[in-house]
Amino acid sequence: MKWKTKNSKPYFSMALFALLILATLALVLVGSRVYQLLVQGQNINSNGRAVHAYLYSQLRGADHTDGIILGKGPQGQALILQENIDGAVYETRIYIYENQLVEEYATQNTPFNPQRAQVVAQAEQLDIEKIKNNLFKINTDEGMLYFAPRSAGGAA
Amino acid sequence: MIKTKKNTAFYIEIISLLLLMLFGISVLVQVFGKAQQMGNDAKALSVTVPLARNAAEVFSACDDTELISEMLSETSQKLQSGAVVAFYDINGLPTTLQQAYYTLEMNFTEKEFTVAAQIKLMHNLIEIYTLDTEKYINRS
Repeated sequence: MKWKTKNSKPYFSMALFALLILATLALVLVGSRVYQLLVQGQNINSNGRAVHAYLYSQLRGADHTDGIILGKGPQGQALILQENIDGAVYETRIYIYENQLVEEYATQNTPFNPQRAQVVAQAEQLDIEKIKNNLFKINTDEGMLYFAPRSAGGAA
Repeated sequence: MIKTKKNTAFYIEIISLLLLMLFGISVLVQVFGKAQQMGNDAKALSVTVPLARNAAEVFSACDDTELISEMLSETSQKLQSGAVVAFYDINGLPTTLQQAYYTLEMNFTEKEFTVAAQIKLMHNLIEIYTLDTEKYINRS
Protein backbone atom coordinates (compact mmCIF):
# COMPACT_ATOMS: atom_id res chain seq x y z
CA MET A 1 0.00 0.00 0.00
CA LYS A 2 2.84 2.29 0.92
CA TRP A 3 4.59 1.43 -2.38
CA LYS A 4 1.43 2.16 -4.42
CA THR A 5 0.92 5.57 -2.77
CA LYS A 6 4.46 6.65 -3.50
CA ASN A 7 4.13 5.84 -7.23
CA SER A 8 0.66 7.29 -7.77
CA LYS A 9 1.85 10.89 -7.19
CA PRO A 10 4.04 11.16 -10.27
CA TYR A 11 1.22 9.78 -12.43
CA PHE A 12 -1.22 12.23 -10.91
CA SER A 13 1.19 15.12 -11.44
CA MET A 14 1.82 14.03 -15.00
CA ALA A 15 -1.91 13.72 -15.68
CA LEU A 16 -2.44 17.17 -14.27
CA PHE A 17 0.37 18.55 -16.38
CA ALA A 18 -1.11 16.89 -19.47
CA LEU A 19 -4.50 18.40 -18.62
CA LEU A 20 -2.96 21.84 -18.35
CA ILE A 21 -1.18 21.44 -21.66
CA LEU A 22 -4.36 20.19 -23.37
CA ALA A 23 -6.42 23.04 -21.92
CA THR A 24 -3.83 25.56 -23.10
CA LEU A 25 -3.73 24.02 -26.59
CA ALA A 26 -7.53 24.03 -26.78
CA LEU A 27 -7.59 27.71 -25.82
CA VAL A 28 -4.96 28.57 -28.41
CA LEU A 29 -6.93 26.68 -31.08
CA VAL A 30 -10.21 28.37 -30.17
CA GLY A 31 -8.49 31.77 -30.04
CA SER A 32 -6.80 31.34 -33.40
CA ARG A 33 -10.06 30.16 -34.99
CA VAL A 34 -11.91 33.22 -33.67
CA TYR A 35 -9.10 35.49 -34.87
CA GLN A 36 -9.12 33.82 -38.30
CA LEU A 37 -12.88 34.35 -38.64
CA LEU A 38 -12.56 37.99 -37.58
CA VAL A 39 -9.78 38.71 -40.07
CA GLN A 40 -11.71 36.93 -42.83
CA GLY A 41 -14.82 39.01 -42.11
CA GLN A 42 -12.77 42.18 -41.93
CA ASN A 43 -11.16 41.48 -45.31
CA ILE A 44 -14.50 40.78 -47.00
CA ASN A 45 -15.89 43.93 -45.43
CA SER A 46 -13.00 46.18 -46.40
CA ASN A 47 -12.76 44.82 -49.98
CA GLY A 48 -16.47 45.38 -50.54
CA ARG A 49 -16.39 48.78 -48.98
CA ALA A 50 -13.27 49.90 -50.82
CA VAL A 51 -14.77 49.54 -54.32
CA HIS A 52 -18.22 50.85 -53.42
CA ALA A 53 -16.90 53.72 -51.32
CA TYR A 54 -14.56 54.70 -54.15
CA LEU A 55 -17.39 54.63 -56.72
CA TYR A 56 -19.74 56.59 -54.43
CA SER A 57 -17.18 59.29 -53.70
CA GLN A 58 -16.30 59.67 -57.38
CA LEU A 59 -19.97 59.79 -58.41
CA ARG A 60 -20.84 62.32 -55.70
CA GLY A 61 -17.90 64.46 -56.79
CA ALA A 62 -19.22 64.49 -60.34
CA ASP A 63 -22.83 65.06 -59.32
CA HIS A 64 -23.54 68.11 -61.46
CA THR A 65 -25.38 68.63 -64.75
CA ASP A 66 -23.93 66.30 -67.44
CA GLY A 67 -21.22 65.23 -65.02
CA ILE A 68 -21.87 61.48 -65.29
CA ILE A 69 -21.79 59.75 -68.66
CA LEU A 70 -21.81 56.09 -69.62
CA GLY A 71 -19.24 55.15 -72.23
CA LYS A 72 -17.42 52.21 -73.74
CA GLY A 73 -14.03 51.31 -72.34
CA PRO A 74 -11.36 48.99 -73.79
CA GLN A 75 -12.95 45.91 -72.15
CA GLY A 76 -16.57 46.73 -71.45
CA GLN A 77 -18.42 49.67 -70.05
CA ALA A 78 -16.81 52.79 -68.66
CA LEU A 79 -18.04 55.37 -66.23
CA ILE A 80 -17.01 58.80 -67.44
CA LEU A 81 -17.07 61.67 -64.98
CA GLN A 82 -16.65 65.06 -66.57
CA GLU A 83 -15.51 68.34 -65.07
CA ASN A 84 -15.02 71.73 -66.62
CA ILE A 85 -11.85 73.54 -65.64
CA ASP A 86 -11.27 76.99 -67.17
CA GLY A 87 -13.28 76.10 -70.23
CA ALA A 88 -11.56 72.78 -70.87
CA VAL A 89 -13.38 69.51 -70.23
CA TYR A 90 -11.49 66.79 -68.34
CA GLU A 91 -12.67 63.25 -67.79
CA THR A 92 -12.14 60.72 -65.05
CA ARG A 93 -12.72 57.38 -66.75
CA ILE A 94 -13.40 54.35 -64.58
CA TYR A 95 -13.40 50.96 -66.26
CA ILE A 96 -12.21 47.35 -66.09
CA TYR A 97 -8.93 46.48 -67.71
CA GLU A 98 -7.17 43.12 -67.31
CA ASN A 99 -9.19 42.14 -64.23
CA GLN A 100 -8.55 45.43 -62.51
CA LEU A 101 -10.73 48.42 -61.84
CA VAL A 102 -8.74 51.36 -63.15
CA GLU A 103 -9.06 55.13 -63.22
CA GLU A 104 -7.77 57.24 -66.06
CA TYR A 105 -7.69 61.01 -66.09
CA ALA A 106 -7.66 62.58 -69.54
CA THR A 107 -8.96 65.46 -71.60
CA GLN A 108 -12.23 65.03 -73.46
CA ASN A 109 -12.21 63.26 -76.85
CA THR A 110 -8.82 61.62 -76.34
CA PRO A 111 -8.72 57.82 -76.83
CA PHE A 112 -8.64 55.46 -73.84
CA ASN A 113 -5.11 54.66 -72.73
CA PRO A 114 -5.10 51.92 -70.04
CA GLN A 115 -1.31 52.15 -69.71
CA ARG A 116 -1.73 55.56 -68.14
CA ALA A 117 -4.54 54.45 -65.81
CA GLN A 118 -4.15 53.96 -62.07
CA VAL A 119 -5.26 50.66 -60.54
CA VAL A 120 -8.02 51.07 -57.95
CA ALA A 121 -8.79 47.44 -57.04
CA GLN A 122 -8.88 43.88 -58.31
CA ALA A 123 -12.23 43.50 -60.09
CA GLU A 124 -13.74 41.71 -63.04
CA GLN A 125 -17.16 43.28 -63.28
CA LEU A 126 -18.42 46.82 -63.78
CA ASP A 127 -21.88 46.90 -65.30
CA ILE A 128 -23.58 50.26 -65.28
CA GLU A 129 -27.19 50.81 -66.17
CA LYS A 130 -29.07 54.09 -66.24
CA ILE A 131 -32.46 52.96 -65.05
CA LYS A 132 -34.01 56.40 -64.93
CA ASN A 133 -32.86 59.92 -65.59
CA ASN A 134 -31.95 60.13 -61.91
CA LEU A 135 -30.98 56.58 -61.02
CA PHE A 136 -27.94 54.46 -61.89
CA LYS A 137 -27.57 50.78 -61.09
CA ILE A 138 -23.97 49.57 -60.86
CA ASN A 139 -23.00 45.91 -60.53
CA THR A 140 -19.50 45.05 -59.33
CA ASP A 141 -17.84 41.90 -57.99
CA GLU A 142 -18.77 43.08 -54.51
CA GLY A 143 -22.48 43.46 -55.25
CA MET A 144 -24.94 45.95 -56.58
CA LEU A 145 -25.25 49.62 -55.73
CA TYR A 146 -27.73 52.29 -56.67
CA PHE A 147 -26.79 55.90 -57.15
CA ALA A 148 -29.28 58.75 -57.49
CA PRO A 149 -27.60 61.95 -58.71
CA ARG A 150 -29.00 64.88 -56.76
CA SER A 151 -28.29 67.17 -59.73
CA ALA A 152 -30.98 65.33 -61.70
CA GLY A 153 -33.55 67.06 -59.51
CA GLY A 154 -35.00 64.33 -57.31
CA ALA A 155 -37.76 61.99 -58.31
CA ALA A 156 -38.86 62.13 -61.90
CA MET B 1 2.84 13.24 10.49
CA ILE B 2 5.29 14.90 8.18
CA LYS B 3 3.94 12.88 5.23
CA THR B 4 0.35 14.04 5.95
CA LYS B 5 1.43 17.69 6.01
CA LYS B 6 3.19 17.24 2.68
CA ASN B 7 0.08 15.62 1.15
CA THR B 8 -2.20 18.36 2.41
CA ALA B 9 0.08 21.09 1.06
CA PHE B 10 0.26 19.28 -2.27
CA TYR B 11 -3.51 19.00 -2.57
CA ILE B 12 -4.04 22.64 -1.60
CA GLU B 13 -1.55 23.60 -4.28
CA ILE B 14 -3.33 21.42 -6.85
CA ILE B 15 -6.74 22.82 -5.97
CA SER B 16 -5.41 26.40 -6.14
CA LEU B 17 -3.84 25.68 -9.50
CA LEU B 18 -7.03 24.12 -10.86
CA LEU B 19 -9.13 27.03 -9.61
CA LEU B 20 -6.73 29.50 -11.19
CA MET B 21 -6.80 27.55 -14.42
CA LEU B 22 -10.60 27.38 -14.44
CA PHE B 23 -10.79 31.12 -13.79
CA GLY B 24 -8.35 31.80 -16.63
CA ILE B 25 -10.26 29.52 -19.01
CA SER B 26 -13.63 31.05 -18.13
CA VAL B 27 -12.28 34.58 -18.71
CA LEU B 28 -10.69 33.64 -22.04
CA VAL B 29 -13.77 31.75 -23.24
CA GLN B 30 -15.87 34.83 -22.48
CA VAL B 31 -13.41 37.05 -24.33
CA PHE B 32 -13.42 34.72 -27.36
CA GLY B 33 -17.20 34.48 -27.28
CA LYS B 34 -17.53 38.24 -27.16
CA ALA B 35 -15.01 38.64 -30.00
CA GLN B 36 -16.94 36.18 -32.14
CA GLN B 37 -20.20 37.97 -31.37
CA MET B 38 -18.66 41.33 -32.31
CA GLY B 39 -17.31 39.77 -35.51
CA ASN B 40 -20.76 38.47 -36.41
CA ASP B 41 -22.33 41.86 -35.65
CA ALA B 42 -19.74 43.60 -37.83
CA LYS B 43 -20.41 41.15 -40.65
CA ALA B 44 -24.17 41.74 -40.36
CA LEU B 45 -23.59 45.50 -40.47
CA SER B 46 -21.31 45.24 -43.49
CA VAL B 47 -24.12 43.44 -45.34
CA THR B 48 -27.03 45.55 -44.13
CA VAL B 49 -25.56 49.08 -44.41
CA PRO B 50 -25.15 48.89 -48.23
CA LEU B 51 -28.69 47.48 -48.50
CA ALA B 52 -30.04 50.43 -46.54
CA ARG B 53 -27.95 52.87 -48.59
CA ASN B 54 -29.26 51.37 -51.83
CA ALA B 55 -32.83 51.66 -50.55
CA ALA B 56 -32.19 55.31 -49.63
CA GLU B 57 -30.89 56.03 -53.14
CA VAL B 58 -33.92 54.34 -54.71
CA PHE B 59 -36.20 56.33 -52.40
CA SER B 60 -34.42 59.52 -53.45
CA ALA B 61 -35.02 58.77 -57.13
CA CYS B 62 -38.57 57.37 -57.04
CA ASP B 63 -41.83 58.85 -55.80
CA ASP B 64 -43.95 55.79 -56.31
CA THR B 65 -43.76 53.09 -53.63
CA GLU B 66 -44.64 50.42 -56.20
CA LEU B 67 -41.57 51.43 -58.17
CA ILE B 68 -39.42 51.47 -55.02
CA SER B 69 -40.61 47.95 -54.22
CA GLU B 70 -39.86 46.81 -57.77
CA MET B 71 -36.36 48.33 -57.70
CA LEU B 72 -35.35 46.75 -54.39
CA SER B 73 -35.93 43.18 -55.55
CA GLU B 74 -38.32 41.04 -57.54
CA THR B 75 -39.63 39.41 -54.38
CA SER B 76 -40.22 42.57 -52.36
CA GLN B 77 -43.74 43.39 -51.31
CA LYS B 78 -45.80 46.48 -50.73
CA LEU B 79 -47.86 46.09 -47.58
CA GLN B 80 -51.35 47.47 -47.02
CA SER B 81 -49.92 49.98 -44.58
CA GLY B 82 -47.92 51.47 -47.46
CA ALA B 83 -44.62 50.08 -46.19
CA VAL B 84 -42.29 48.22 -48.51
CA VAL B 85 -40.64 44.97 -47.40
CA ALA B 86 -37.76 43.23 -49.15
CA PHE B 87 -35.97 40.00 -48.31
CA TYR B 88 -32.28 39.16 -48.54
CA ASP B 89 -30.12 36.13 -47.86
CA ILE B 90 -27.08 36.04 -45.56
CA ASN B 91 -24.90 37.58 -48.30
CA GLY B 92 -27.33 40.41 -49.01
CA LEU B 93 -28.70 38.95 -52.23
CA PRO B 94 -32.45 39.18 -52.92
CA THR B 95 -34.40 36.09 -51.97
CA THR B 96 -37.87 34.94 -50.98
CA LEU B 97 -39.63 35.41 -47.65
CA GLN B 98 -39.10 31.72 -46.80
CA GLN B 99 -35.33 31.87 -47.34
CA ALA B 100 -34.81 35.36 -45.96
CA TYR B 101 -32.03 36.00 -43.48
CA TYR B 102 -32.38 39.79 -43.47
CA THR B 103 -35.61 41.74 -43.88
CA LEU B 104 -35.66 45.31 -45.08
CA GLU B 105 -38.67 47.38 -44.11
CA MET B 106 -39.30 50.88 -45.45
CA ASN B 107 -41.91 53.04 -43.77
CA PHE B 108 -42.95 56.36 -45.22
CA THR B 109 -44.26 59.47 -43.49
CA GLU B 110 -45.64 62.33 -45.54
CA LYS B 111 -45.04 65.83 -44.24
CA GLU B 112 -45.97 69.24 -45.61
CA PHE B 113 -43.11 69.61 -48.09
CA THR B 114 -41.20 66.40 -47.59
CA VAL B 115 -41.54 62.65 -47.40
CA ALA B 116 -39.51 60.81 -44.77
CA ALA B 117 -38.50 57.18 -45.02
CA GLN B 118 -37.29 54.98 -42.25
CA ILE B 119 -35.29 52.05 -43.57
CA LYS B 120 -34.96 49.25 -41.08
CA LEU B 121 -32.85 46.11 -41.51
CA MET B 122 -33.75 43.16 -39.31
CA HIS B 123 -32.79 39.58 -38.66
CA ASN B 124 -35.41 37.46 -36.87
CA LEU B 125 -37.25 40.68 -35.99
CA ILE B 126 -34.14 41.99 -34.23
CA GLU B 127 -33.15 45.40 -35.53
CA ILE B 128 -29.62 45.55 -36.95
CA TYR B 129 -29.46 48.92 -38.66
CA THR B 130 -31.84 51.83 -39.21
CA LEU B 131 -31.46 54.68 -41.65
CA ASP B 132 -33.68 57.76 -41.68
CA THR B 133 -33.85 59.80 -44.84
CA GLU B 134 -36.06 62.58 -46.17
CA LYS B 135 -36.66 64.30 -49.50
CA TYR B 136 -38.57 67.28 -50.81
CA ILE B 137 -41.61 66.61 -52.91
CA ASN B 138 -43.12 68.79 -55.56
CA ARG B 139 -46.82 69.04 -54.81
CA SER B 140 -47.61 71.49 -57.61
